[in-house]
Amino acid sequence: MTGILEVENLSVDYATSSSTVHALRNVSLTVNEGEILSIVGESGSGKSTFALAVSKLLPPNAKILKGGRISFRGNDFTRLNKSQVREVRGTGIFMIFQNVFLSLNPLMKIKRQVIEAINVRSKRTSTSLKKREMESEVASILKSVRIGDAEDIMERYPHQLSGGQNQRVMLAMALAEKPSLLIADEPTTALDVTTQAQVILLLKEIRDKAKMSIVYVTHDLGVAASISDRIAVLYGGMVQELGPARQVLSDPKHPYTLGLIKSIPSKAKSEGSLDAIKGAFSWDDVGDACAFAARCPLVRENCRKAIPALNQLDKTLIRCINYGESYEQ
Amino acid sequence: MSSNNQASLQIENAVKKFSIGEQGILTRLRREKKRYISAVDDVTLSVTKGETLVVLGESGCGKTTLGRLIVGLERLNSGRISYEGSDVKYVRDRGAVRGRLQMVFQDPSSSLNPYLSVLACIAEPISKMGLRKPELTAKVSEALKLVGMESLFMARRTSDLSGGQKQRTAIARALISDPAVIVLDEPTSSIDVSIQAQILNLLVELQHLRNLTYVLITHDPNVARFMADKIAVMYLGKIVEYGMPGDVLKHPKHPYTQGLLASAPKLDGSSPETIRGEPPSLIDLPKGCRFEPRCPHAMPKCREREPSLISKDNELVACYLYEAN
Amino acid sequence: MGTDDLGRDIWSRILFAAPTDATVSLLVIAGGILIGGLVGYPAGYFGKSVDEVNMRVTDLFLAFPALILALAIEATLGRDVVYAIIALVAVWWPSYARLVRGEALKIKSMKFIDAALLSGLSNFAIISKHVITNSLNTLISYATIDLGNTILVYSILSFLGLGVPAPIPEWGTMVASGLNEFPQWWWYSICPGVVIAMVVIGSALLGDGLRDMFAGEL
Repeated sequence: MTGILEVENLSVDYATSSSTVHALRNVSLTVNEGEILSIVGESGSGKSTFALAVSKLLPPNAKILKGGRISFRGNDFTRLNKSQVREVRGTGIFMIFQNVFLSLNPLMKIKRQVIEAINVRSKRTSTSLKKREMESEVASILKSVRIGDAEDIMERYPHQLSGGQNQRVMLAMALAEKPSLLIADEPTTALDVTTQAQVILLLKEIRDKAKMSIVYVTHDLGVAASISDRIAVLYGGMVQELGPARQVLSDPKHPYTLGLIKSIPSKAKSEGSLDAIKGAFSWDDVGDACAFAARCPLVRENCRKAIPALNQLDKTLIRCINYGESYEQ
Repeated sequence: MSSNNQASLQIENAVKKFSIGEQGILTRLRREKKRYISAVDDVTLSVTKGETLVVLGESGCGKTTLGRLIVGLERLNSGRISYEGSDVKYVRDRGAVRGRLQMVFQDPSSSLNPYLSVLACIAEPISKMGLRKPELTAKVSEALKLVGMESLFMARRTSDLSGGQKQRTAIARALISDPAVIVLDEPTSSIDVSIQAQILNLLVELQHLRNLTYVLITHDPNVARFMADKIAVMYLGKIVEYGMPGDVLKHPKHPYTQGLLASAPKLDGSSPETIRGEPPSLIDLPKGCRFEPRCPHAMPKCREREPSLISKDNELVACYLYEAN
Repeated sequence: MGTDDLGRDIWSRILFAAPTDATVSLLVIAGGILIGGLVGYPAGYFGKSVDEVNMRVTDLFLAFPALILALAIEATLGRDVVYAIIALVAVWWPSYARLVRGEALKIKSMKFIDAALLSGLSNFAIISKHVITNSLNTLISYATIDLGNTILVYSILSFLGLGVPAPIPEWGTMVASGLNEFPQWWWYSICPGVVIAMVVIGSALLGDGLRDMFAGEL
C-alpha cells in the first residue's frame, strides 16, 4: 500500500556563514492514509527541518541533497518550482505552525481567511458557493472546531483572539480545505495544557471525520502518546526508532527513547533523583558514528566506528547495534 | 492558613492590581475611572524553610505575578509578604534586602544579557560589594562548580551557550549572593526534555546542600509531582486548592484541579479530557466562583458568592462541594 | 581632472575636502547620538511622564524641516563650520532619540533587566551596562547609513553658500562654483557631485553590511 506521503533518503543541509549543518540525514518515512504519525525529537533532531522540507517551506540556505525523494500521492515533488508546488499544495497539503501569527494574516478578518481556504478547495473540486452560503459555511466550520460565538469571531482579527482560538481557526481552515495531509509543527507548544487538550481532541476528530493523514512534530512524548498511531523518534538528524505508538512507548528499545521516557518525572524527589540522560546534544556528534554515543548508557566501542543501520524488530525499526549489528553503507 | 513559626516566607492577603487601558493626559484630566485587573487577588501562603512550594496553574492565573511580588519586583497593592519576619520591599525602595531572595526566570535567552560574559552575568548580584577581581572570579568559579559547569565557561559570551548551559548560568547567578529563598518561574519550560531532568536533579541537590527554600512556578503536573513539598493551585488570581502533592495530584478536590490534571497528556496513550469553554478574562470576572462558567459541578450558589478556602482532609479547597451543610 | 577656473587642481581639491566632510559628518552624528541618547534612553526606560515630556520635545524638533532650521540657525549665528555643525546636530538628534527609545522599550522587557534590578543595580548602571550595549548594533548600523546623509546635507548647505567659506575646499562649494562654467566645463561640478553620490551610497552599503553581520551574530 503506497502511503499518502513517501519520503526516501531525505538529507537536508543548511549553509551557514561558518559551516554546513547536516540537519537531516537519510530519513525515510511513509505516512499512510488516515494515519497520525508523530515525529518526536529535541533541539538538533531535525524534526522541524523535516516538516519544512515536506511542505516545501525550507529557507533559501537549505539544500536537499541528491538521492532524496519526497512524493505526495505517488507524485515526486522534491524538485518542483514554485508554481508547480502551488498546484500540489492546492490538492492537499496543509501546514500549521507553532506560532499562529506565521500562518494567519493579521490584516484579514477571520471570515475572509476561512473563505480563502474554502475557495482553495472549491477550485480543486470545481464547485463554488454563493456569498450567503459561504458565510453560513464559515460559521458551521468554525462551530465544528468548537469555537463558540462563531458569528462574532468571524468578524474579528487574529490579534483579538487567544492563542488557543487562533490555533482552532487554523484547524478550521484545515477542515475547510480538506487536505489529505496535515503537517503540524508543534502546534500546541505555546498553549496551556487545557487548551492543548482541546486541540488534540479536535485533531483526532478531524482525522476521523475527514480521513486526513497527520504528521505531528513535537518534543513532547506525552502529546505524541495521546495522538499518534505511529511514532518516529529523531536524534542527530536520523530516525532512531520508528514503530506503532503503543509499542514504542510501552517497550522502548532505543536507549534515547528510553532515556526520554525516563526524563519525564513520574515520582517524587523523595523517591530518588530522575534518570536523566547525561550530557547534551552537540553538533560535534553528528558525523560518521552513532550520534547518541556520547550520551548513551549502553555505548560500545563499535558505536563510534560507523553509523548503525535500521533493523526491524517486531513492528519497530530501530537504529542501534545493541539490537542488530549492522551499519550504514 | 495559620501563621507558622517555622515558616520562612509568609504571604498574607497579597493583592496586586494592574490598570488597563490607555492613560493619556486627557483621560487623566477628565478623571476617568481607571479600570483594573487583580492579577493576584487575596493570596495567603506560607513556605517552610528548606521546602519547595509549587504554584501550579496556567497562563493568566497570576502565578508569575505572585513570584515577582515575592522577590520584590512588583509592589503590593495590599497585604504583606515577609521573609523571616521582615517585609519584602520593592526593589527600588530604600532598604530593600538584596540577595536573600533571588529569582530564576523561564527563558534563559532573555534572562542573560547576550553581550556579556558568563563571568559578568553571574557576578552581577555581588558586583556592588566592592570585591576585587580575583575574589570575584573565585566566587564565580565556585558558583559554576555548584551548577556542574567548568571554570572555562567564565570567559564565554552567554549567547554562545546551549539552553541547558544558559539555565545553569542563571541558577549560578541566583546562588552567588547566598540567598535563602529562590523563586523559579517555569525554570525548565524552555529547555529540552532530556536536559530538564538534569536541571531538576540539580535543583534538588542544591536545595539539600544549601537548605534553600524554593517557590517553583509551573504549569506541568509532572514537574510539580517531582519537586513539591506543598502544592498551591491557582486560577484567575486565587488559590483554589492547597495541600501535599500526594493529595492534590492523586486525589484532586477542586474541579479545576481535576480538569487540569485530566487534560495533561499521559504516556499511556489515553485521550486527554477537556475543561469546556475558554478561561474568562480577568476584566469581566463573574460575581461568584471564578470557575463556575466552566465547572461540571456548578450549583446555583456558586454564582452568588465566591467560595473561600476551607479545610478538608488535610487540604484547603475553595469550593462549595466541600462545605459542610 | 584638470584645473578649475582659478587654476586649482580639481582632484587634489576633492581629496583635500574629504577630511572636512568626514569630520563634519562624524561630529554631527556624534552630537546626534549624544543628545538623542540623553533624550531617548530615559524616555524608553522610565516611560510615563519622562517619556511623554521627552518625546514631545522630540516631536517639536522633528517638525522643523532640516534645511530650513539649519538655514535659520546659520542666518542668526553667522557663517562658520561650527555653526553649521550645531545647526545640523539640532536637526539630526530627534531621529536618534526615537530610535534609541524604541530599543530601550524593547530591552526593558527582557528578563536580564529584572535580574539586574534584583542585583541592586542603579537605573544608571542598568542603562549603561544593559540597555545601551544591547542597542549598539542597531544604533551603529543606522549611524553608518546616516553618515552618507549628513555628508549630503552638509554639501547642500555648502552649495547654498552656508558651509565653509572659500577658499577651503568642500564638495558642495565646488559643485556650486563649478556651475558658473556649466556646461562647457561640466566636470567642474559633476566630479565632486559624483564623489558625493559615491560616498553616500558607500556608507549605505557599509551600514547594510554591518547590519547583516550583526544579525548573524546573535
